This record gives sequence, structure tokens and C-alpha cells, in this order.
Amino acid sequence: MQSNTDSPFASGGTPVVPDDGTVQMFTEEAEPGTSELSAGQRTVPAGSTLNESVWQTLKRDLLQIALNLRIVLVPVSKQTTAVRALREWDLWGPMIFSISLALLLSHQSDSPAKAFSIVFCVLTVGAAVLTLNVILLGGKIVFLQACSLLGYCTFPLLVAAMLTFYQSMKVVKLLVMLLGVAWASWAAVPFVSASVSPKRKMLAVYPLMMMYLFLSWVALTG
Amino acid sequence: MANFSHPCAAVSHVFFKTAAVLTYILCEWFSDNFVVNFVVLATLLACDFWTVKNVSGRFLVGLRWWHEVNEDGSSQWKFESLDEEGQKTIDTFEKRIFWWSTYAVPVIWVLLGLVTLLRLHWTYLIIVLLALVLACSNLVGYVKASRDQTKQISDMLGTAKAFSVIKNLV
Repeated sequence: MQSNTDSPFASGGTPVVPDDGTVQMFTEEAEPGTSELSAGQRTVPAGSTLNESVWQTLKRDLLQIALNLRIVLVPVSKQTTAVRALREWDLWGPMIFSISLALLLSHQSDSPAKAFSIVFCVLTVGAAVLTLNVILLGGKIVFLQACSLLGYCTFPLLVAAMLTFYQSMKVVKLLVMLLGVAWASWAAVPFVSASVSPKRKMLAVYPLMMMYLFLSWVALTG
Repeated sequence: MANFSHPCAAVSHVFFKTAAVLTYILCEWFSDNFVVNFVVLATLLACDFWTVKNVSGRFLVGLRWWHEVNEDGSSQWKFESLDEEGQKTIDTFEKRIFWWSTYAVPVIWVLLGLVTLLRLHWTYLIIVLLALVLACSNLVGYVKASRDQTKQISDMLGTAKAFSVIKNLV
């Protein structure tokens, strides 16, 4: 992947998305001597994001969330592992999913405040602890990128929780939640196990499964 | 007389921060429901973080920071900043508003956290922690970006001097 020095968003055109789903951002310093002043207005060279409109920034971030979601949950090709593909990580998606999931799961509960805080803490602290676990087992990952990826992997659980919200039949709820756990694990486990040596795969994967099963249990029992 | 070139950016920069702090202090009078309070505060904090990172930093001080992961798995900070000429367009008053509020917010949240701790409201500490994480990351990001900008400008000045010396010699 060669580095791209042109921002695809500079002139408000449609963003260019390479095949592997990553989005390149302009990373170089604004070139010296090319910016001009005119009565308090500031112009910067094309390709810099400093002068873009607020709407463009918002659009770019929203697109990034959607792209990251697609990359994590629907792998484009078997060779592209989530690590290489999630280079443009962000924590907005995980935050939105954590809060939504905590909201849904606490709604059915007797003490919503407690349930909400427990689920939210399990999701956020859990992602951090799982990442630490992989790092301590000798895995080579970037902390925040891994937290971002694990956060995106909770999206299937959110979908499952939404689908079972009005469902009263326990069996159906159980099936849907298990499907959600399966999908989330299918997305997260390859990444986690690929980062550590083969001997320690189970040690890295086991806490992840525990967290997903705990969340499903909260969803089923309310 | 301050020349406000970006009033909207300055106002929104301060608005979400103040709204978050005030809501936190007053929320228990309005609603007993922790979940509602949490969601409202989290939304305000997130809006504040996004605004400072993507809007007010750009317009008020001409800086931007983000974090990237490279091909080989290493990660690095990346910055964008105005060069020396662009820096002249920055209004001192807006710059002052930006930096003062960015430095003050973590301090305010630490104090609020201490008060919450003393009142033993454990669940509300989650909110304080979230606020601190967001405020401090913006602070660290912008301080680094500002240092990077100073370095870039002094590098450029060094190069420009070298060029002019060579030009005079030739």
C-alpha cells in the first residue's frame, strides 16, 4: 500500500476507497510558502484538511465508522486480517455501540442504573483488559487499535439485543443471542489468536468468549 | 478590540464544555434516572471532544492531530498545522480562549471527581473518568501538535537561511 499524498476529501468530491477498504488521509505538513493571506482569510494548499467545512469533517468521520464496521464484520478477503485493514481506527463506533447495548440491556432489568453501568463498564473495561491480556501474552498489537476492533465486534451483540427486545419466548431469544455471539466471535477470534503464538491461543481467546457469554446472559435474564 | 474571525468555532468550543460541566453539577436535581443522565452527559462530552478535535482546533489555532497505525504495525502521531504565514491569521484572543479552556477543563473535572468521590456516588465516577479521558487526550494531542508546529517552523527557517546563504555565495 503506497502512501497517498492527496487527500481524497480536499475538494468535496466523493471519497476514494481502495479495494481493501482503507481510507487514506492526508498526512503531510502544509507546504511552506504557498498559503496566502487576504483580509483575515486563510488559504491552505489543496490536500490539507485544515480549511475544510464542518460538514465535510462530519461526513468523513461517519463514513469512517461505516467502513470500519464493514471491514471488521465482513472480511473482504481471507488474506486481509483485521489488523492491517483497521489502520484508520476510531473509537466513535465502539462508544455508540457500547452505550446503545447498555441502554437496551438495562431497559428490561429491575435496577436499570446498575445494569447500565455494569454493561457499559464490562464493555469498555473489558475491551481494555482483553487487549492488555493479548499484549501480556506476547502479542504485538497497538492498544487503541485493538480496543477499537473489539468495540466494533460487539455490533453483532447489539443487533441480537435489538432483535430480541420485544421477544418474550426464551428459546428464540437464546437462539438469536447465540447467533450474535457466534458472529462476534467469528470477527474477533481470528484477530486475537493471530496476534499471539499458537501455544497461547486459548489463553487469549477464552476471556473474550467469557465476556460475550456474560453479555448474552445479561440479555437473556434481564 | 478582538477581531473575531471564527465566532461560531469559539462559541461551540466553550459551549459543550460548559454544558457538560453544568449538566453534571445540576443533573441530580432534574432527574433521578442515572441512565438518562449518563446518556445525556456522554453525548455532550462526545460532542465536545469531536468539536474540539475537528472544528475549533482547526479554526481557532490552525492545528490538527490524529493517530495512525503503519503498515508494519507501529503507530505514530500525525499533525497538520499552519506555516508561519498562516499563523499570522490566528487571532490572539481566540487562541487564548482555546488554550485556556483546554487546560482548565481537565482540572475542573478532577475537582468534580473528588467531590463525587467524597459524596460516594460511585456510578457517577464513570462519567468523570470518561470526561477526563476525553479532555486529556485532546489536551495532549494539541500540545504535541503545537510543539510539532514550532519544530516545523524552526526547521523551515533553518532551511530558508541555508538557501539564502547559498544564494549569496553563488
